[in-house]
Amino acid sequence: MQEITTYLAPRRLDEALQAMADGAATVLCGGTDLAPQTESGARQYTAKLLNIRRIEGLGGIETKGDKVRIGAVTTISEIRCNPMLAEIAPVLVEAAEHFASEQIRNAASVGGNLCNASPAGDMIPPLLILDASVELACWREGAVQTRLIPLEGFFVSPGKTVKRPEELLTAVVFDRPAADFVGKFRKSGPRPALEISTVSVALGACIADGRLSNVRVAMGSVAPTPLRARHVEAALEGKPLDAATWAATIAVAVAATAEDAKPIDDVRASAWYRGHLVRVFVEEVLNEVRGN
Amino acid sequence: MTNLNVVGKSVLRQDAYEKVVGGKGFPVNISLPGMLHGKMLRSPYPHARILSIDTSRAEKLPGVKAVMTPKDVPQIIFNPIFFMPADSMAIHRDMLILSDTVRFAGQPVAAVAATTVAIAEQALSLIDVEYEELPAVFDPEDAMKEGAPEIHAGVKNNIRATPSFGAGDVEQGFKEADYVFEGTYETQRVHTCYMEPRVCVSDTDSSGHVTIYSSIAHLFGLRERLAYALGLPVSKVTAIQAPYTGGSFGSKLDLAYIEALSALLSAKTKKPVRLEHTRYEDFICNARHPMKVYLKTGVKKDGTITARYASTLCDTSAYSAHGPEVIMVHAYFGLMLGYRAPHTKWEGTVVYTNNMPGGAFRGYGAPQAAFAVESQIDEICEKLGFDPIEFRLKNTPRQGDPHPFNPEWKLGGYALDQCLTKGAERMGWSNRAKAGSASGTKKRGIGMAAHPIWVSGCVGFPDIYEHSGAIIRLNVDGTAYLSSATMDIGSGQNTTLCQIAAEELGLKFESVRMAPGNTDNLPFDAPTHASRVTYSSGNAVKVAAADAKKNLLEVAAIVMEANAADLEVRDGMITVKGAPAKAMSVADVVKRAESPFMVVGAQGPTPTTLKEKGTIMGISSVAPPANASPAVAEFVEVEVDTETGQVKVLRAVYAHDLGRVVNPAAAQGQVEGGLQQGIGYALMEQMLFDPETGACLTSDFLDYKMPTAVEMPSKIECIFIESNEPTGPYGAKSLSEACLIVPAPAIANAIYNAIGVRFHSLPITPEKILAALGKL
Repeated sequence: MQEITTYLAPRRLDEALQAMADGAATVLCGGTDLAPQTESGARQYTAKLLNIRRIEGLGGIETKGDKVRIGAVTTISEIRCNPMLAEIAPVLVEAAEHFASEQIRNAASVGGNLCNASPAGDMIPPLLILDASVELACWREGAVQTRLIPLEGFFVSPGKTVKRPEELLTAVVFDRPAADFVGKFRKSGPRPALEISTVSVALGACIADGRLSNVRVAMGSVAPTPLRARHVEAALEGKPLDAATWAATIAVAVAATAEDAKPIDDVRASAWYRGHLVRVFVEEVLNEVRGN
Repeated sequence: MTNLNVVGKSVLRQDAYEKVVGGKGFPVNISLPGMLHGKMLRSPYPHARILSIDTSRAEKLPGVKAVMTPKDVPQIIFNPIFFMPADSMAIHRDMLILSDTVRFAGQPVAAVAATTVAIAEQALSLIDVEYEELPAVFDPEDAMKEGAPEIHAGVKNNIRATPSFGAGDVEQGFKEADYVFEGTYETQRVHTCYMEPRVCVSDTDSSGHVTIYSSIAHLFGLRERLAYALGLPVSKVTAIQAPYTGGSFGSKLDLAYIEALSALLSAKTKKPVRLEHTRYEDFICNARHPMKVYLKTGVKKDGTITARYASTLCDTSAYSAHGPEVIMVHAYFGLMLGYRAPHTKWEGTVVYTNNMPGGAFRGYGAPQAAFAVESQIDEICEKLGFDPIEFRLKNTPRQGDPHPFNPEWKLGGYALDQCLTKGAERMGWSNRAKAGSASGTKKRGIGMAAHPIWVSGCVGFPDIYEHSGAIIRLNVDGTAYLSSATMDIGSGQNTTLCQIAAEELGLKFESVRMAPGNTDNLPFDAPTHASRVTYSSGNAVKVAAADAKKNLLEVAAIVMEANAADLEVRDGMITVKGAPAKAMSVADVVKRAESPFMVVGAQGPTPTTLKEKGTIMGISSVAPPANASPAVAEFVEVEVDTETGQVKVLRAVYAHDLGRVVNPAAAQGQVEGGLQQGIGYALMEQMLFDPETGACLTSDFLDYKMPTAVEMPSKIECIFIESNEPTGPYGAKSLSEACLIVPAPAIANAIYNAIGVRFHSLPITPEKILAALGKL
């Protein structure tokens, strides 16, 4: 077992990035995933524990022009209670509502939820349908360097992302959704509260002239990583909302879920049940989007 | 009985604040100077023989003080159950503290004591064990087949016990029936999920005397069983009573490996040794027995039951432990006694497997039985068009009838009829729609279940301890100490007993305090189990308090120059009946009794006038004269989402005849907790295991789903029907276990009413519902 020999809690980003430049620091923010993972032995601490919670400028939710930026250490509770997000991206607030429990929401950060890269991460599907990107920073050649990665390309496998060990996720950014954009989120498990998602579905689309456009669908817990359901999106793009064809549109979209969702059997649910819930949720959210 | 001052009031628990701010009294918080920390190495195999254990690397690790393997522990075969004599003929002894044979995945094979938990854990990884893997069997039906692995030498087909009983001629009874119903009902393995882990600290002195602190539900059982497993006389073990324990629900009624190992590690190291379960270890230490019940019932056209036959297959797991006992309580008090039938027969089979040990769990075999009985009654009523309330009223006993378990007892206070009718009225039972008639995708339904006969303790059960004792001592400030070896496991036992003592003594509730003791200075007490404490320990406390009061009034009579028979006590004041002006406080009387023989006054030393000097106290050690049956009916409304398969319990109405309610708030808490565990049992809780290795897959609260506050109905309505039980203290009977016996069948019946589909196995998961609706 690795002993923690150094604990750092810097206030400046450049200090933090320098401290992790050797790629050997364990990053701590809310600790809601880190603590149980190290406790159970699924993950080991490295000698250097780096608390990023106190870094100035790493929290907060702000808009600049058309861009929305959520700092990495922003807690799920802050997202849940943010009036601006409630107005421009209510689907994020909705997902935050369903996130674990009050105590965990108060501690867990959005950056941590993304970096943990769980297929069941609750904030991921709604951010995917907002077409979000993550900002990664590192210390190189005597300066802070950043790069922007589309969230869809961020996840590699359960617990793994393209983020390099010396990089810190500093923010998640997305374009302010169009005024006619509607997004919806659903998750489920054997019990409604304090649940790891059995499956989750987020669906967003612009609604103009009685048609769906810019359709984005994301799913969690149906594959090794959260994913954009491109087949379902294609089945829905440009489809009219009129009563005559709507049932057929839903049927095609529901059928297309089989192309995107490849769930597995585990302790929490069977592959069959996950596939079924995806179909139910896609139908439910489509009806809700149409009702808006 | 109408003039009660303390009994019947929702007084505040004396330990409430203390618990909220951290609970110093919980055994988990015990720490002794120089204490070492122990850890157990557990087998990864479900069935194996240990060929060799090499501890040399572990012993060299700095900080390791002792390592223990099977050769270091007494090879005394024991049964871990606390509440039966260690040498009882009614139980099977087949366990060792550490054995060369592993029979379930996770069985301890070695133990370490070290200066820190981390070092102890590291030492475990340095112990090299060579196993010879043996074939394992996990399904009890497979275990009985020819050629199945032999789990205990000489136990043919792994069948541990085949008990049976009956009355009348069951074949004749079925011939007399107009209709015969049969069905098989299966229940799953669930864990109690108490909050405080099993944890203990042992301190063994140089003479070999063991002092132990442990999170348990039976102080004297721990002493007896630990002494037995260690080969010591009971007088060489002192079990210290914790002021309160962080939950048990039955799980802390048997000797844990940690208790025996901490005592042995302490003897070896000459230091106190603490062992604490991780949540994983708690999950695999015991669980409710999964059972498969076949039930056949003969009914006449008018709804009279003519005959009942049942058989039960019980997976007792790797060790016998509770299996042979739990199946008897299951059969009598779960399956057969509640509804009258002239002809009955039951046959049980208790089978060894390589699963984790079974244990006691609130209801002790009855929830498994009630799921069968109450589901089948619903099926009978549906088929024959009877109202389920009327059917039950027709086939259940009434107040004054002989007790079906022992006809020498009467159902003294007994109001099942009122539980059924009042509960039905409150729920709006008459508005219940036809099964499956709800429209839309979210369908609502109403269902109910009853449990006519249950226990208030174990009077009448062979080989189960039942007597209780109490000591009451009065203090010079007019307060009283109550000492009893009854363990408060969180349901407010201490408060209830103090209320009974205060009522009997004529003191205010705040004037009676529970004074914890140990097995050296307390009279014996049976465990906190079997819904027994209010009725049985309460009886002993009342007898001790009456004894103390008699002694108090004899002294008061001398001091007040009155006749003891003319005195009464109320709110700490002693008065002469009919002459209220002549009064003296309890404090002043006790002060006189405790005063020195010579008292220095203004005139110098003067002899006191009182000759009868000494501490005023009362003692008892008694069992109640009978075993009063509570009665219960529960009604629930559910909503089934036919798209996702999710079930929500929207409302629950719980009607319970518990005799006198001693503390209404505590009683309501029992009902709510029972419903929560019942919702878990009915809908989501289930221990799962790897089919190859037998390893537990649901050993934390991520994967083992208990209902949270969100899944509880917003409306839980309690109707307490206070029949006056002549054998109970102030007319009290029992409550606890019945609260968990009825919810699962009530929910299953409500689901049937909602969607018209009957489930014969628990838990009723969303997947099962969707499969039954043809969506699979």
